[in-house]
Amino acid sequence: MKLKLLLALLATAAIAAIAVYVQSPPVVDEKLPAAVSAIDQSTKDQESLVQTEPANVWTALPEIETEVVHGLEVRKDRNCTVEQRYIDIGDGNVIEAYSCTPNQPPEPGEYDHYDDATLTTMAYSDPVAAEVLGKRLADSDPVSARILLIRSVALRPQNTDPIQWLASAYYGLVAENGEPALREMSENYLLQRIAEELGTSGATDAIKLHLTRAGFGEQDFLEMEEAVRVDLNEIRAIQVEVTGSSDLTGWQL
Amino acid sequence: MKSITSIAILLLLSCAWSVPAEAQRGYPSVVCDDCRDIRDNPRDYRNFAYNQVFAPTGTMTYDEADFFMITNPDGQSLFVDMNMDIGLILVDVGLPLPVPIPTVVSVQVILIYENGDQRDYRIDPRAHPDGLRVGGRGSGGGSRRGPGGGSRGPGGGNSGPPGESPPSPRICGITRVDGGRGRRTCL
Repeated sequence: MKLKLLLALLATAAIAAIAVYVQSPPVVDEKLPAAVSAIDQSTKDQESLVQTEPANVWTALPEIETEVVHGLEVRKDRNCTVEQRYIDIGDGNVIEAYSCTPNQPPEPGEYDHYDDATLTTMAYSDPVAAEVLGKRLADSDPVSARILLIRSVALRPQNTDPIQWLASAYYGLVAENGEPALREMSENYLLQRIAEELGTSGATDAIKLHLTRAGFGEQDFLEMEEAVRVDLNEIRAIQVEVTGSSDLTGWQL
Repeated sequence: MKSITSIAILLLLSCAWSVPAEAQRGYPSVVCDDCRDIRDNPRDYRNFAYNQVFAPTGTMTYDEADFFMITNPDGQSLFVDMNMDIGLILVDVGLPLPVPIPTVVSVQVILIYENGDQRDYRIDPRAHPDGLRVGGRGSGGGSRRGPGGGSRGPGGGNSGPPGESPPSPRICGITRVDGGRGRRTCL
């Protein structure tokens, strides 16, 4: 009898194991090895970054309360409705995923109702208009976006958020397939250096670290300083043109 | 004894079937309805991943956001490896000395494609407290009119003093989008 019971339990365990295996989505598992090898490398990079930044204290972050919805653990403070979804990924394969639909549309900003032409006119002397239009155009016209966001900072130099937004949102690429993204990082550094010169302390710390690790030397940083000087001079010129004076000194060409 | 064995089998089977798919895979899978082509618009996925934790509509905890999959409605998908650097920010709360508050100072978002290609981004969360835009420009963004609906902006009229025209705006600036030295460009 004991043998029968043992066999029955073994069979049960085998059935359970098969059941779990059958439920696993095969398509996703095929994709995983490449991702796992990539994550191993990224973890190493992160560890090396952490070693250079001893202030990292993961456990000190506040706990986030969660709850289970449709079998998924999600944050309690979310402002959206969780839905279970099934997405056809081709070849007859379907994956199970979830989405969260916002409960209400985002509040429109004070300037959102203005069209581009109106904002362009206002941006001559209004830092908020320049910021709103710059952010609006960033995807489709990065050249104009940069001009407008720099202008916004020139018109209100105590607020460097617009150029820090641009640096982070559009020049945040650090590496692609392990190769340093020097163009993006240089532009990011340049914008952050301008923010620093206007009074935002420590803005370049992180990006300078990445550039140094990518091989940027003293001469490279000196050349960047020249670019910073050109942009600050432009900011000064905008201030003089619009208000007749500028507090920026020492950056004249 | 047979009944005990049957109950054991039933219990084990029910446990096996009740394990959520997410737990089996070990990572969450999220749908991004606004994400465009996976190769042409990788920033959509980066921004969506960031928003999962830092936007008001975020659903994930820091732990869950460590590794997950994003799929767009066309079935294109990629993996996201997200890490956060925590720093101590000194905050003045009226005490004799500022209080150090642990804060996320930098978010690393790595997009990992099926073939192993990856893009490594850093985002400053302090620059994006409301999240990042996903997808193209909002519908009608370029043609939206003021509340009056007229072609002359809100209010539909020129409220300036008669005989005084506003300065002709010429918005110029230095651009360096293609790298190299700055170039002066006007809108």
